[in-house]
Amino acid sequence: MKWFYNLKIGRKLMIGFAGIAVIASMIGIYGISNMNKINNNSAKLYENVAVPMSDMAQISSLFQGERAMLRDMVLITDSAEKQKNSDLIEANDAMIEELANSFEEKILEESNRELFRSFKTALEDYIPRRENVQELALSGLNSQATEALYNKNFKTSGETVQNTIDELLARKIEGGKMQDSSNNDIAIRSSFAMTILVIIGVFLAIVFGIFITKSITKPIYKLVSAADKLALGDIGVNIEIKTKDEVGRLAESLQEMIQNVRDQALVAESIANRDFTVKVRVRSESDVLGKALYDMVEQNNTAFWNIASSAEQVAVGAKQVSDSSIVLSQGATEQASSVEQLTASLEEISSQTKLNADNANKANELAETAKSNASQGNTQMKGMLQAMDEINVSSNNINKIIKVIDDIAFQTNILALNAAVEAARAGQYGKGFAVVAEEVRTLAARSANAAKETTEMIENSIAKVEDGTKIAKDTADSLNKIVDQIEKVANLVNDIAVASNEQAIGINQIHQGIIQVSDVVQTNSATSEEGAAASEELSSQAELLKSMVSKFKLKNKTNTKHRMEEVSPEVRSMLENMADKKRNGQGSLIEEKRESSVPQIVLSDSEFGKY
Amino acid sequence: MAELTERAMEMEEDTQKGRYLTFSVGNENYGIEIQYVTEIIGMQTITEVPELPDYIKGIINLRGKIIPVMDVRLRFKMEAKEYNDRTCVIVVDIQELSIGLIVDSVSEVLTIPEQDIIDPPQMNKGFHNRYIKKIGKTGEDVKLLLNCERLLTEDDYENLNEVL
Repeated sequence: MKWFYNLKIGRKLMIGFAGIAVIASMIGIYGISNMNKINNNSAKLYENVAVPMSDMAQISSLFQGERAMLRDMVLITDSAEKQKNSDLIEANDAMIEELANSFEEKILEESNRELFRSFKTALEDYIPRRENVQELALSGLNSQATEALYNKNFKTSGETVQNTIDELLARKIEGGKMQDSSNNDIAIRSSFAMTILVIIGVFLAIVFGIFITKSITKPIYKLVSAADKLALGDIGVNIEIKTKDEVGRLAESLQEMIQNVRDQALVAESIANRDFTVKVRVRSESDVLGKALYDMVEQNNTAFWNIASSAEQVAVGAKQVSDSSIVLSQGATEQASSVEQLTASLEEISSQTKLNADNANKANELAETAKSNASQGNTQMKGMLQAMDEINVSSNNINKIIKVIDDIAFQTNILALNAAVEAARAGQYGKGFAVVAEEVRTLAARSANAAKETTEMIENSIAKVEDGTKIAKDTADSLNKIVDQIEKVANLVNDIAVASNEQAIGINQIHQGIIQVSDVVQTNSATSEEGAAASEELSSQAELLKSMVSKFKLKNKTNTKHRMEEVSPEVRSMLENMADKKRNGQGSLIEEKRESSVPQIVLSDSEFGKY
Repeated sequence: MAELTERAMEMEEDTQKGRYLTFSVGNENYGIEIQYVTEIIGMQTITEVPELPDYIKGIINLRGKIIPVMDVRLRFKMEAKEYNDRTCVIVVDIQELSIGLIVDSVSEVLTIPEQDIIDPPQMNKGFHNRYIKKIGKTGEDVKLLLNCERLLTEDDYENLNEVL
């Protein structure tokens, strides 16, 4: 019956009504048909019985009328009347003929037909006789006519006709009676049947009605109950209507609605459970709740992501601030110790400066002495140079003389050679001369040698003198330089002495300044400790915020990194710069501190006491 | 007169033989037979004479006598050297023409025995070898003995004769 349930309600109703209509019509049809039947039967009765009966009766009457008329004709002497009667008889014949024809048409049974045929036969038999009579009558032969009228054959034939007519009539009446009784039966039967049908129909109608009503109302009740539950907020309802009719469609839609409500309820539940990863399905442009939920989820997502990222950044920033604070406080500590060292150093420097000043003065005096000594040395050097120059001059003179001697030796050599040449020319006579020449040459050679040696020695001595001169000059230069340097030194030392004094003053001022710095350092330490504490607080708050936010399950993680990098670089870089500077200045200690997960401030109250 | 001189010279030749006047030009020591040598003088002012070969430096006035002087260095195609006070002029007598040879320095008169005089090596026929008649060994040194006649060419003789 699934297909039935899947029909639309209209159709169902239609079917129901149609069913009822069918039943009614069936009943009606049955009734009508029966009525028609009865009608027909009664018509038939009429047609086939009443009318023929009437026909036959009429025939009978006509026949009798005919006979009467015939008699009249016979009896009457008025020929006009006879003719009138004859005409009437003829008319009657015609009518009888007509009626008989019409009767014949309505003959139903064979037996009746036979009877009719016999009637017809009888009539045919009668008519001529009658006509005979008629003629006789007409022709005025009343007595013949009467005779013919009371002819036995004519009578019998007349009677036969009348009998047949009566028979026919009786048969018809019987037939009519039968018909009537059958009609009665039919009527009774049909009324009985119709009653039954009506009862059945009513029953069916009721059943149908109930069925259809149930089929309509049950789902609707289900829907109503589901809707009631839904109205109470219970989304656990499930509609089990699977028909395809309007109710089914309504159920579907309601189911969908329930599903949607369920979805949205689930969404709301997840939102309540801080799970923002749910996907909200917006069903249409007019889905206000869906859109609202979607927006809510999206915005919450965004908002919480932002919060998360901001919390992250705050945490990071807080951490960095905390670290920087630690660094700062450490720096302050080291600053303080440095300040102390500075003070100590300053003391030393101050004493040193005094020493410097004294030493500078002493140096000044010594420089003066050295200067005067150097000048003296210079003067002496000049004297020495002069003496050496004189030596040089003497040597040059000696050289010149030696040169003269050398020339002489040379010339003597030449002379000796010439002598030798002359001696050779002189031949044997010149031998003694040659010897003399030879001796002279030897002497010249010796002179030349001596001169040469002397020259060498002189040159040596000149060279040495030159060396000495050079050295003396160098020494003089050095002494000059020394003098210059000493002057410079003296000036410098003077400046040193002056500067030392100023240094002493300056150092004093530095001292004052350092005391101030020390104060400031103390303040810095305190401030940085406070800062560290505050950042601790901030950090923990940020952590809290983070933990709170982390309970929310969020989607779209790709957004965050982007966001974080957008905001943080300046802050980050600034903090990192601060940290870097401190780190570079402070060394490994800071590294360790940085690595520790829990920022701690190193300074304690006792350390402050130093300052 | 010439005969006398010749005879004297012949006689002188015996005593003059093997006696060479050694001088140095550049790094080499040369020797010239004493018989050619007239005298040795120191450097004097040279008067230049045009149209003479470049090794003929010019003429000098030696006690009234005009003597052309030749730079041996240039003659031997060596680099010319500055004349200093050691530079001497050896006046030689070649074919009755007196000519002075400018040399770097004069050493001595040597007697080189015959056995120490040998022919020069026949390596290259440069100009030098024309002038070297013989080679004389003196202890460690070797003196190149000049052939005086070759010092001047025919043209030079003619030129000089014309000039003088």
